[in-house]
Amino acid sequence: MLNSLKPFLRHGVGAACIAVVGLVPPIAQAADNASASATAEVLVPIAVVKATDLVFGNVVPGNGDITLSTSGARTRSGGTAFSTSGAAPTAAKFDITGSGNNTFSILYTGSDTVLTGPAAATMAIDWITEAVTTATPTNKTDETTDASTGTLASGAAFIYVGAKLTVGGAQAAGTYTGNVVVTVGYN
Amino acid sequence: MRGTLAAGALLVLALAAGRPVDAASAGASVTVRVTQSVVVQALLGAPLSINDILDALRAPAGPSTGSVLIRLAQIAPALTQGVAAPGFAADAVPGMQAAMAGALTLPLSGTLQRELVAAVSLIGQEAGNDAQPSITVAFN
Repeated sequence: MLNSLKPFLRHGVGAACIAVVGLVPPIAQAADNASASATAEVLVPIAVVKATDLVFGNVVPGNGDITLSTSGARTRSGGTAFSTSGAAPTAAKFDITGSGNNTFSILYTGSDTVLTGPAAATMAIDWITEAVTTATPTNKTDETTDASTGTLASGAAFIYVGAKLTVGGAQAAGTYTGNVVVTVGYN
Repeated sequence: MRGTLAAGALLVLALAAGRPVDAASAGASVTVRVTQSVVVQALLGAPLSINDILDALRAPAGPSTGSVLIRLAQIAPALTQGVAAPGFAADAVPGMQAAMAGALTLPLSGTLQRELVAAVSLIGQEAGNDAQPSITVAFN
């Protein structure tokens, strides 16, 4: 049924179009036009990979602070102290890859206030963060401001995370652990 | 359908976390080890072994029970009397003179020699010049 109507319909539609064009009143011949380019940049998905963990090494009880800079250097204040033996202290390092010279935002989560140790003992901790375009940290020791943005230099950037650790005078001996999670996204 | 639900769940999680959907994450562990410590109110550097100190700490209640200083005195009188044990020379131990003067901080690596150097790794500080120098011993 439909096939039999096809030739008719085709001609009918063509005739209708001609009729419509014939009914359109003549328009003025003052048309103009302009064009705009359309571009789109497809970004390489941003990625972050942990390169090193954050390790404080050995410390002893005492009311005070141990600061681990973004370069992995330790300093102390108050009655606590750190050992030159044991695990070597290192700041956490994250390698960022993405497109070109774009900027990105950084979010830090994880054990951002306390580390947990034996028998639910805790230690207060505050991150020290920085984002740099070369794999050379600046030895930052200020925990009051976190690096919230970074810039990819030719598609690469680096985030370093140290921390300020508060040690108590009766801090229980043992290993305390936590984690720091870095989330990055294009601005 | 299952895949659609999973993708939707991820999107909801990402939005709930307040981050863009093109975000990427990575985590690093954080560790610190708090070591047992004992304050020794005496010059350290005599050829005490780590076992001597541990024995003093774990000594049963009795005449020698008391502060670590007293217990150690039972084991190594030379330590609290400032008398060099045989084979020990204060001048040969960097930091010893500073310790006798009540310095605030002593260079541990130079202070502790012989058997202790492997087991004791740092020192603490002394609050006042008139007080006896104290040394915090941290066990590895």
